[in-house]
Amino acid sequence: MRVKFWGTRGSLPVAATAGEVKKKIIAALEAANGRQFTSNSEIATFADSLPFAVVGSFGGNSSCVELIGASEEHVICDIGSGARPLGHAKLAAYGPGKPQTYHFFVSHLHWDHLMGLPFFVPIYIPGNRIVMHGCHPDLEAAVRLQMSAPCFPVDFSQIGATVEFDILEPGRDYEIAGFKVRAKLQLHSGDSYGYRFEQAEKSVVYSTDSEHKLENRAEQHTFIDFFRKADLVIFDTMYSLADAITVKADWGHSSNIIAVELCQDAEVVRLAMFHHEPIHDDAKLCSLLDETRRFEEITRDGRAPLEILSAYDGLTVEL
Amino acid sequence: MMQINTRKQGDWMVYAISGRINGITAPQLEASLRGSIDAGELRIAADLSSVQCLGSAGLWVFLAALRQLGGGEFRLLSPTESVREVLDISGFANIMAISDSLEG
Repeated sequence: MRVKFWGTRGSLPVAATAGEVKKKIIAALEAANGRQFTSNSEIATFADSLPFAVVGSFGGNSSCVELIGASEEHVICDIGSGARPLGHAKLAAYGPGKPQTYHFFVSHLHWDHLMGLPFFVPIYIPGNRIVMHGCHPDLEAAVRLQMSAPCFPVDFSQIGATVEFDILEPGRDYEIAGFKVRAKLQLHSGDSYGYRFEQAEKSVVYSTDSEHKLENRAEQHTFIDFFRKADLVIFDTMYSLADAITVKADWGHSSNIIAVELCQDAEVVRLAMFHHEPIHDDAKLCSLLDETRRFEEITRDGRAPLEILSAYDGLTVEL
Repeated sequence: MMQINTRKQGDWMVYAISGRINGITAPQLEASLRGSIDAGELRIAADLSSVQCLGSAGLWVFLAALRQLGGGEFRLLSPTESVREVLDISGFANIMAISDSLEG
């Protein structure tokens, strides 16, 4: 199984500012330290040697994660703005002449998790089949509202693909596109749902836009059970713990500290930090990753190490 | 495993804590702190110089004590290097008073 991240930003898509680009150029020139290059390939090799915060980027698209398993049908968590490049990639791979089936698992109905649908080109191609899975009874109404005047110029009724809506029951196992799938209710304004996917003895949990109240230890145990021995947990680490439980309490998000502790207790193999705060630049997100790894090390207490990565747009994780 | 020893130092109630403050041990600390606050203590310090490990459950207990004290004062004393790192990483270093002594 592979997991590909198409959008990893929380709340709102963002783009790098001119100031951030300038910082990267300055850092690269400092690293070059007057060195002379004799070919483009030598420059490219040098660029590849630079730290991720200088040569790479977390990107700015909102939530969209693809699970690539054994089925030819496509499985995608959330339809944030990352669905736009995903749609272009699918079109490039399959063209308009080979109908495809896309399964979207929707965590909740806030716009950053739905806004990519009108820009997901495969929905305009007749023959394609789109299945929207979710636990919100008003999933279809929200999708139709987004693609109606005055929100968007193309009405939902004008799209070419066939669209089905499949309302799931949390806590129940389903077989969908070759995956065993189970949803779990999460604490978020208007509710959100996490999804656990299992296939061929590999498991992925997609758990974003989920607040964890420290005073509610019983609730934490339900998440430990949900995450149990997962190969990858994709987790909302938008805020610091201090912010998440004080000034941003009840905003519906979580922290790197809670992510690590739940994953440690659940014996998770790998944690992907996700739903990045829009105000954080690449350097800050890299710093947060380092700190999170350090926290895991400090609190490991004889357990197997938890591998931690910070998801970025374009990252593929092989399980 | 966690141990708590309390002592009065001037008008401060000092909690000398040793061991690990985690989901298992934090309720004991929480109950003890609440007892002191209910008994009228207004200035409480948690001496962390012998704490080996601090997790979110412990941080939550500190925040709860700070809130319960209202107009009183809650302070973290002499955290070990790793506990200081946790305070920094969690952002608690920005919202809690931390010093090496009660005079600091």
